[in-house]
Amino acid sequence: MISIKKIKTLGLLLAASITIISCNKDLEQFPDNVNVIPGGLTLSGTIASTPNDSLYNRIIIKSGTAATLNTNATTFTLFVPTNSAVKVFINAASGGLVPLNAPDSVFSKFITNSLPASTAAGIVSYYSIPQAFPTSSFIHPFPNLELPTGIIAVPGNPLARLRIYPSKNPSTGLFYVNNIPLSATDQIVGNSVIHHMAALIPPPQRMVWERLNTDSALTIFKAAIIRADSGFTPITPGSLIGGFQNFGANFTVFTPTNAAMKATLSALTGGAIPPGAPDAVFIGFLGGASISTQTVKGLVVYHLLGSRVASGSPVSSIRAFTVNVPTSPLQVLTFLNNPGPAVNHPGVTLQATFTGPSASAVTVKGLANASASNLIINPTPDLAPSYGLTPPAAPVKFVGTSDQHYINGVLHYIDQVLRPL
Amino acid sequence: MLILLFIKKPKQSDMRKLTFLVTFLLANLFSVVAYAQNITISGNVKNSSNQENTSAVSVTIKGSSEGTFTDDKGNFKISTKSLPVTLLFSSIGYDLQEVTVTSVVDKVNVSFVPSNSLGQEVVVSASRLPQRILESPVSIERVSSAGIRNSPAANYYDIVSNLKGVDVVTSSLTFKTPTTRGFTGSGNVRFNQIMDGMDNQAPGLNFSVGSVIGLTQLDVDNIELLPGASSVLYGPGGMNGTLLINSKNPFIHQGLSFEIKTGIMHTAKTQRDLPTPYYNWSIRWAKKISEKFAFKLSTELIQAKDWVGVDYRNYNRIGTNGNVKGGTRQTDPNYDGINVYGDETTADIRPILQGIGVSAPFLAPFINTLIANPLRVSRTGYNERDIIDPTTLNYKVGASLNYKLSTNTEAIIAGYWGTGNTVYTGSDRYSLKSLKVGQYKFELNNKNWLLRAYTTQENAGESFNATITTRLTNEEWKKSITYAADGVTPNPQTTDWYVQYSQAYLANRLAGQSDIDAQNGARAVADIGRPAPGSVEFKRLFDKVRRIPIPRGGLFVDKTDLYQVEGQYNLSSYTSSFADVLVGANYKKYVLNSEGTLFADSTGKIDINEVGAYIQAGRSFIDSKLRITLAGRYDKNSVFEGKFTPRATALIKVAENNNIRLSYQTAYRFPSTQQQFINLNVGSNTRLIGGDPSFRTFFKFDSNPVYYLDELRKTSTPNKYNNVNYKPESVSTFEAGFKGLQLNDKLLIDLYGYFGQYKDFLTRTLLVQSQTGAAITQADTSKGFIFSVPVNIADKVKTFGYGISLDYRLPLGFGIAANASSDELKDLPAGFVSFFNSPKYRFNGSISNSGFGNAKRYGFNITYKWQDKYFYQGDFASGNVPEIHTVDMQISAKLPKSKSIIKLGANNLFNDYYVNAIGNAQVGGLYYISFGYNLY
Repeated sequence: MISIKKIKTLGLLLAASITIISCNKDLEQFPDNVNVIPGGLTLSGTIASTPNDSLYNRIIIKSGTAATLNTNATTFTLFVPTNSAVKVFINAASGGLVPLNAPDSVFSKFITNSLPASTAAGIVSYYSIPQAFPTSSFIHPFPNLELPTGIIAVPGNPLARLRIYPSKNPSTGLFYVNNIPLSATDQIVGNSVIHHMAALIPPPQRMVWERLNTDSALTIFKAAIIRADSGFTPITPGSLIGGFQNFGANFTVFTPTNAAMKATLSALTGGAIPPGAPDAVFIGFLGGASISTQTVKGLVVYHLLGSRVASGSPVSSIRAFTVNVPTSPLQVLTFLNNPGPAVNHPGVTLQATFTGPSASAVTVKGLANASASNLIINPTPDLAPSYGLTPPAAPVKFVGTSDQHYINGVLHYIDQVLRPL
Repeated sequence: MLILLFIKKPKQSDMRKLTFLVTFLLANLFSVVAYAQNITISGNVKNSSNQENTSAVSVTIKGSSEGTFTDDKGNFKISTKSLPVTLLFSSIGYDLQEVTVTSVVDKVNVSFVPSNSLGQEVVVSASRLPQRILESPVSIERVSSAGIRNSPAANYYDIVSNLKGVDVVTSSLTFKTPTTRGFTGSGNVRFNQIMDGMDNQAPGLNFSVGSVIGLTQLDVDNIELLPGASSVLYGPGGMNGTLLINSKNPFIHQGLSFEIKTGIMHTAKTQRDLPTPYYNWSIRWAKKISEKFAFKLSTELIQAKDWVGVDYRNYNRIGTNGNVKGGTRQTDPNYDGINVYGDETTADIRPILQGIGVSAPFLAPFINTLIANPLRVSRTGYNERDIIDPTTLNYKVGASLNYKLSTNTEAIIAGYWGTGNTVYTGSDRYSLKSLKVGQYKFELNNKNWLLRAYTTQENAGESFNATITTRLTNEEWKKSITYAADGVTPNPQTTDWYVQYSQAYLANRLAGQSDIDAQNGARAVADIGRPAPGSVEFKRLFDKVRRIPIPRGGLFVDKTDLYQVEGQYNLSSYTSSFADVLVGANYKKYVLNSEGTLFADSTGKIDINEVGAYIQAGRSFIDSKLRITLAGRYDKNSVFEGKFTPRATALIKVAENNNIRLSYQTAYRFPSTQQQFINLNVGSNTRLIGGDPSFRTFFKFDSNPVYYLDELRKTSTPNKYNNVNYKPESVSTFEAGFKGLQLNDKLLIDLYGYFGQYKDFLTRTLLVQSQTGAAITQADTSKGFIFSVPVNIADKVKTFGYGISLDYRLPLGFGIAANASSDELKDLPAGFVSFFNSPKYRFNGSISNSGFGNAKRYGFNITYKWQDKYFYQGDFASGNVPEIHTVDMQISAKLPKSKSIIKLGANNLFNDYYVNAIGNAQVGGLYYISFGYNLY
C-alpha cells in the first residue's frame, strides 16, 4: 500500500510539473521581404480586352508570346499599336493586298494566316521593354532614352539586345518611341505599363552601313567615309566602317546627298571641279592626294552626333530622330569632339518645326555654314526586303530620307555638307 | 612581503625570509612520522538502511591524526600503538559514529546510519580552508558525488546549471559554459574554472575546457561554486565567479567502478534524419597499494551526433555587431543565415553591372535604372549540418600517483588529457576537431601548506573556423572575383561567380523578370556545378581548405601553453592567538603560439608573465558569534600595471546553524590573451585585433586614422579613435546573505543580494579605416576596413541581483528544493556591447529521493528549470533568446548484490528544443539508460 501511495504521489507531482510547463517558444521571426505579385488582368489579358487593341492581340497570339505576357510576375513596358496603326502596317506589308478600309476581320485573318510567327514575335519583342517605364521616366537629356528590347540580336547572348528609344520632346512635350508618336500613355497593368503607338514600324533589321554602302544617292559621302578610314582595318576600333557595321554602335548620321557633296567639294577645289562633274570625279578627288585624310575624316565625323555623359568625358554616340529635336536651336556635339575633352568644338545646331506630332522641318547647321542644312523629310521606313510573306511583299528600299532607322543608328539626308571650320 | 619577492629584485632581508620559508617547508616535508604502530584494527562499514558496504568512510583514531578510509567493499584497516582506542566514523550523508575498540580479536563491524540532515557539507573554496557550508563567509554552492549520482543530468557538468544563479551557454552537446551573475557566453573570461587546483581555461582559446576535457564523471568528488567576485583567492579572472571541480583521492575512493550509459537523441528528427545514439562510457580504478602509496586511473568516452545550429534567420552583419532581420535565401539576395556559412561573402554587384555597361554601352541606360541603390549579393552558403562533423567525440583520461611523505604531507603527480570533437561559438562557430588539451601537475599537499606546479598544454588539432572555411571553400570551387597580381585590384573574369551572377541577373531583368526572380535565377546560373552538400567533391574541397592555416584556409593552429607555480601556507598554527593567517603566491606564464593563425605571432611565440600573491587573516569575536576575515591580493602582468584587490567578510552567527554573511569583494582581470594579441580576420572586412599598441603601428592607425564605426554610421560625423591604452577591468561587490536551518533542521534556506560595480569594463568596439587612406566618409562604413578592438568603458557599469534557495527534507527520504534568482545590468553607456546575456529571472525546482521502496533500492529525481527571455549579444550573432522551460528526470534502481545501479533518465524530457545563445546549437531531448558498477 505504501508503494502504491508513493507512486500516486509521484504521479501527482509529475502531473503538477507538467501543468506548469509551457512549450519553449520559437525564436522570434521577422517580416519577410515578400515579392508581391499584383492581381488583376495581365498584359495580354488587358490587350485582349481592349477593342482598339484587337489586331495587336492577334499579333501577340501569333507571336507565341501571349503566355509570357499573361503573368503579372514579370514587368514590361509595352508599346501597343492601335488597330488603325496595325492596319497601315499590314496594308504596307501586304503590298496593298489588304486595303486600309477592309474590315477588321480581314486584317485579323491576315495576321493569323499570312503574317509569319517570327515577324509577329519580332514586333512584339521589339516593342517590349523589360521593366516599367512610365512616361515620367522619359525625361532625359536630348535626344532620348536608349533601352533594350526583347529581341536578342546575338543568339546565345541574352545581353545583346536591340534597342528602342522612348522620348519626350522638350519643346512640345509629346511622347514618342523612336519617331512614332504615342497616342495614349501610362496604362498601368500590374507592375507593367502600356503606351499606345500611332504607327507600327517593324524592328530594324539592317546596319547603317548597308544603307551607306548601297544607296546610290550617297556614293560620294560613302567615298568620304572610305577615305576617312584610310589606314584602318575595317571593323577595328576607330574604324568608321567598322562602327557602322557594329551591332553595339549607335549613330545619328547626317548624310549629305551627292548633290550636296558635289557643291561643297567643288567649292573646296575653287571650282576646279565643277559641281556638275560626274560622281566618279568627286569620288576620285576624295581618294586622291589633293585632300588630306584628316580633312576628310574631320568632315565626315562632323556629320555624326554625339554627347558627353559628363563634362570632360569622351563623346558617346546618340541616336536622334527628328521628333527629338526641339523647336528652339539646340547645340549638339559631334564626333569631331571624339578625340577627347581637349577638342572643344561647339558642334552643330539643330532646330525643328512641328506640324501635329511630326516634325515637318528640321535644320542642322554647321559652325562654318552660312545657312542651315535642311533634313530632307520623308520618314518612310526602309523596310526589309520581305516579312517572310508568301508571296513576298515588294521591298520598300531607300525611299525614305529622314528617320531611316537601322539596328545601330538613324540616318537623315541633308542638303548641305556641314562645315566645322 | 611575499609579493615583493616576485615582482622586484629581492633584498637581503627578503632573501632571509625566503630562506626561512624554504627551510620551513622542507622541515615539514621531511618530518616524516615513523610508522611505528604495531596493532592493526580491521573492520567493515555497512549502510544500516540497506546493508550495502559503504566506501570512502573516514575512519580516524579519536585524539590523534591517524586515519584511513574504507575501501570499495567497506573494509578498513588502521594501526595504533595501544588499546583501547575510540574510532570515529564519518562521511557526508551519515551520522557521526564512535566505536571504542578494546581488542583486535574481532573485526569492527559498523552499521552506519544515513543522515537526512542538511547543511553538513564541508567546503574549502570559500576561504581556501575547510569549513562547514553553513559557515561560509561568502555565497557558495556545492554538489557532492552523491548529488551527481542522483542527478538526472546525463553529464555532471549539466548539474551546475541547476544551481542557484547559474546560467549555462550550450554551444554543443559537450561544450557548455556556466557562469554566474551575468556576462554569459561561450568562453566566458570573467568566470574561472579550476579543476583539481588547475585553471582549466585553454590559455590560447580563452575558454574553459572543463566540459570537454576535464575530470571524468566517476572521478569527480565534488563541485564547489563561488558566485561573484573571487579574484582575491583564485587570481585574475574570477570577476563573476569561480567553479572548482575536485577529483577523488585514491587513498579515499578506491576500487574499480564503471558506468555504461546509452541513450538516444534527435528523436524529433528535426536536425538529423533519424534518431541517433548517445554513448557515455566511463571507468575509474583506484588502489591504495600501501598506507603511503595510491594511484588512480580514469577514462571516459562520450560519442554522439551533436546538436546542430539550425537558426536560419537572416542576419544583418555589421562587423561583429548585427541584428536579425527578415528575409530568406529566396527573398533576400544578400541573405546571411545565422547558421549558414559561406554566405557571409557579400558584394555590391553594381560595379560589375556598370562594367557591363561600359563594354556594352547600349545597355548602360538600362543598367543605370537598376543601380540607384546598392545591389548587395551574398554567395550561397552551406548549412551547419553540412559542414560540421556530425560526430561529437570526447575522450578523457586521467591518472594520479599519490604518495604520502608523512602523515600530513602528500605528493601528487597527476595528469589529465583529453581530446575530441565539439563545436564552440566565438566570433564565429568553430569546429574543434581533434582538440587536445593536457593538464599536468605536481603537488605537495600538507595540512598547513600547499605547493603546486602545473602546465596546460593546448593543441587545437584540426580545429577550424566554420565561417572562414566555408567561405574559402566557395572560393576554391569558384572565385568570387579574380584579383590582379597585386591582390587588391579587381580583375573580373567571366568565370568569376559574381560576374556570372551579374550577367545572368541582367539578362533576367532584360527578360522582364522582377528583381527577386532575376536574382534567384542569377544565383541558379552562378551556382551551376556547385558541389552539393555531402558530395565527394564538396568534401574534397572543404577538407582541403580546412587543413590550410588561416588566412589562406580555415585551420587555426593553436599550441599555446600555460605554466603556473603556486604556493600557499596556513600560518594559523603560529598566529592563531592573533588571527588565522593564510598566505599564498603564484607565478603564471603564457606562451602564445598560433603560428599567426589566431594571434599576431607569425614571427614567433609571445610570452606573457603574471605574478601575484595574497594574504588572508581571519579572527573570531564575541564567543565566535562574529568572524571577520580580511584578505588582499596583488598581481602584476608583464604588460599591465600591478593591481591590488582587497576582500572583507563578516560572518554573524545569529543562532546555531543560522548565519548572516556580509562581504565586500573585489576582483579584476587582465585582458585575455586574445584581447591582448588576437589578429583574426572574421570576414566582412572585419578584423579582430588585440589592444597591444603594436597593432596600431602595424595597421597604420597614425597615418591612416580609425574612427568609431557606429557613430559614423548614425551621424556621418567622424569621431577619431585616439589610441587609448586599455587596462585591466575590476569589479567591487557588496553582498549580504543568510544561510540557516529551520523547521527542526529540515529546511535549509540560503538567500543573498548583491550589488556590483565594474570599473574600466572591458568590451570591444568597432572602428573603421579608409581602405585607400583618403579622408573617411560615411560610405567607408560599408566598404572600409573594420577593426574590433578592446576598449575600457570610462563609466562604471553596475550589476545587482538576488537569489534564494529552499531545500526541504520530507519524510521517507524525500526532498524538495527550489531556487530563484535574478541578475540585472544598469548604467551601460549607449553604443557599447556588454555581452551581459543574462535572464532577469530564473527558477529551478526539484523533487527527489535517493532511497525508497523495497530495501530503499529505488531513487528518482525530477528537476524543472525555467529561465526568462533575454537579449543575447555575441560576436557571432545577437538576438532575443526566448524563455526556456525544461524538465529533467531520472529513476534508478540499485542491485545491491552486484553493487550496481540501473538508471533511466531524460534531459529535456519533453523534447522541447531551445537555444540559450543565438547561433548556438538547438538542444532537444536526450534519453538514456545506464548501468553503473560500484558508484560511490
